[in-house]
Amino acid sequence: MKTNKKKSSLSTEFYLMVFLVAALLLLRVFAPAFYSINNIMSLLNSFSYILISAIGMNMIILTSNIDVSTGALISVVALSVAAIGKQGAPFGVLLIAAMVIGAVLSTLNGLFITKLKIPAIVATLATTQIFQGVLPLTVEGSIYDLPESFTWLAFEAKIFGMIPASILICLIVAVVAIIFMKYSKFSKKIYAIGNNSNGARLAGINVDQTIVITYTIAGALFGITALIVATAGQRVTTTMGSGMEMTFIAAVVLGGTSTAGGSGRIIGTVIGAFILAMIAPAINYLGISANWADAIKGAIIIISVLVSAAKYIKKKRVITDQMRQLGGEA
Amino acid sequence: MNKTILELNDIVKTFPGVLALNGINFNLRSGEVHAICGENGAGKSTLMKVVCGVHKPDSGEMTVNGKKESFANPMEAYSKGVSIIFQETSLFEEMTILDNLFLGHEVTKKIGPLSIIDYAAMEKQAKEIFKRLNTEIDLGAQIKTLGMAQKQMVEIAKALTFNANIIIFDEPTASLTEREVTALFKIINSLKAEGLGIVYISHRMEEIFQICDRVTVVRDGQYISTKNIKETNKDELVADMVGRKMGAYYPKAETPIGEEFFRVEHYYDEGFLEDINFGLRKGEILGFAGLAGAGRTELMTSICGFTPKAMGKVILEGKEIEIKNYKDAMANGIVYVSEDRGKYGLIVDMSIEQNITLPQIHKFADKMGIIKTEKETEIGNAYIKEIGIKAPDSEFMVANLSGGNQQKVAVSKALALQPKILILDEPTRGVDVNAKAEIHKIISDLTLKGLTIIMISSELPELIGMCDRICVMKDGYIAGSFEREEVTQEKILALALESKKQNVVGV
Repeated sequence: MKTNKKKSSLSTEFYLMVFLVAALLLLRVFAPAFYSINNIMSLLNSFSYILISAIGMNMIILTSNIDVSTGALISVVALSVAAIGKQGAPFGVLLIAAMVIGAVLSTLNGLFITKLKIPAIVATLATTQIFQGVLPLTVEGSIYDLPESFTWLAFEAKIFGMIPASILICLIVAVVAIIFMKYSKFSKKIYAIGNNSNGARLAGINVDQTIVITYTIAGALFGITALIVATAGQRVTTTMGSGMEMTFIAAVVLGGTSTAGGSGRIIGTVIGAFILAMIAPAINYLGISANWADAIKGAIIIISVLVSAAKYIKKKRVITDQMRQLGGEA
Repeated sequence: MNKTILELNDIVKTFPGVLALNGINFNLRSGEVHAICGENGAGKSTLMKVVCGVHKPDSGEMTVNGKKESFANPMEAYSKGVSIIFQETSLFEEMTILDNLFLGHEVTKKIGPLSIIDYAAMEKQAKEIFKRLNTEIDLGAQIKTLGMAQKQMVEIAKALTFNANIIIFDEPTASLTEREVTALFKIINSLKAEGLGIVYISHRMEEIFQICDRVTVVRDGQYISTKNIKETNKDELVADMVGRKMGAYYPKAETPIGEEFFRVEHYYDEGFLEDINFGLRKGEILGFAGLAGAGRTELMTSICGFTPKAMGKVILEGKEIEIKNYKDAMANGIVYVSEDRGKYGLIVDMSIEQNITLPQIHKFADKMGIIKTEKETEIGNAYIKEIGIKAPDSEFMVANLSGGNQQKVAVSKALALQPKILILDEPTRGVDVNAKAEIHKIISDLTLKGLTIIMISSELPELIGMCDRICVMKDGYIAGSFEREEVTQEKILALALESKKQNVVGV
């Protein structure tokens, strides 16, 4: 019997860390102002809300599904919590409301995908239209003049008087997620479905139910992101979350999660989210037009998808070689 | 002898249009290895899938460890002590060995109100099991890094994590090397010594005689016999597997057979095909027999250019031809009809005429590239009439046709290309008895019109009834060939089942 070969290649996380450190060093040299306290704090805030949703997106992508409606969903949740916040509701109420609304909307996505057997990309494209479509019907443009109780998270809740409290929420979410994805039985179902949904079914896993619950959990996380984004100012608009889903998907894919599902770790997503959060301010401080930000994000997505595709092709080749060897020896 | 731990009584299972199992009886005792053998499609694997809950039986009774049971899925079967090791492993490639072993029944411990996975306990249990199996393995390794034999070992270990006392092996040696087979047999023997009951599905005679205590033969979904290995022999088993009667009627027309006009020489594709040589005479039907995985489909798809070019010569009408892709094959008059209609043979969401014209759609378009649908309809209707496709008109969607009529569309599509050589891969798979006879008639009529046919089939009576000559393939080479006059099912099976490689005979 053959012995196992030790892993010879370094992990995706390692390469990402190298890239991240290199980028940070370059910024130190070419754009020292990047390291101003203000910028770092704002960077931490956007990192927080990107990572919280990216963790949810990661779980969805692990099951070999996707959600492109997240941006629109966040807009809906943001407006809803603004409407509640306008009445002076405290932060705790807003947080629970955001998570519940996010979870309910995302569960709808999960039900469309599993019960109606609509491919995830189609189902969530359709719900994107629905989410975006209902907003102008309920609100004219924006909800404004929001009270201080609403913007409490962004302006008053500072740790040591300067670190945004969103990072604390993010930290809690990330730690719980890492433990959950390692020590819960549910996480094994997620990975199994992403690997081989038929095999998962044979192993007695209720595939549809697992996918729906995954969307529900992710939706609650999207809700938290919506709350952080919404409470950043006194005005909440109907397009607040537009386009955000791409950032989350990019963070997940960059973090080494296979777009085919079944493999990927939270820690990769953490680094991916940090890199994505860095792009806009880095470009700004390097003196490049902000218009490039999206193009650069796009390029990063393409490169990371290509890398993951290359890994996949290599894997397939190894398997084919093995089969040929077996055939030859038999 | 030991007590019976698994008993099947009169199991019946039908799939749409097919009676897959018809009253199967089987019993397994603790501490024995009991083989189930039969031809391809006899129902061996279906039977075991019924046992472990992949399929639900229509009727019949199953008793496991003294209790009447019926499992909803393999997980439930596992939890009641029945585990199956499938032909294709059902492991999760990206997950670790440990995760795979305990998937769905992870060991957990309580921390406050939470119950979390107890990796330490799982590891301890896994290590003990691998020790029992005498294997060292890195529990943290991902499945994708393992070879076939190791994956199988993980499957066996998985069965043991459930404390299974019944383990079913479905063709376990199909992709193992000889050394790995020896190792596997050692493990099976030690499990048997521990008092487990083993069901061993295989059609490799040597293995059955080497490792099994009893053998049950099934044929065409029916129970035939159960014998003690010591009281039987290979010939008797083969006779049971084949049966004595010929069954269906084969309308083979007597056609004049011409000169050899096509030849494949020293055809070789590493790992799949080994030094294939055969010739083809004008107007004949050449059959290819062999077990699943013997390389018949691989040979034909390779000749037609679907897979990267293999080494060797293909000679058509005295000239060596080069086929780089299927287009080249069609240009040379070689056309292939796939065994998998739904996947490769037809586009079922398109109409009959659209399917027929698809490979040469440019011939049905004007200069602007716009398709002349009336020309399509014309040819569609012509084939409906000629081949006897039962459909209201040629614009009828293929998905709504029966299997037999779909097959006729696939054949029409091939004929519309006006081939010299028509390759039919399992032309009657999944069609009912009447359609089968019709397709046989069509094939026979085609040879009368001068067409030459290569036919792959896993149904020996069909090959024997239809073919002028039959090549028997085994492990990627041609193990031998028979003329129509001399061939019998026993002779074919003997060659196809032979384990040691004989001198390769050119045909």
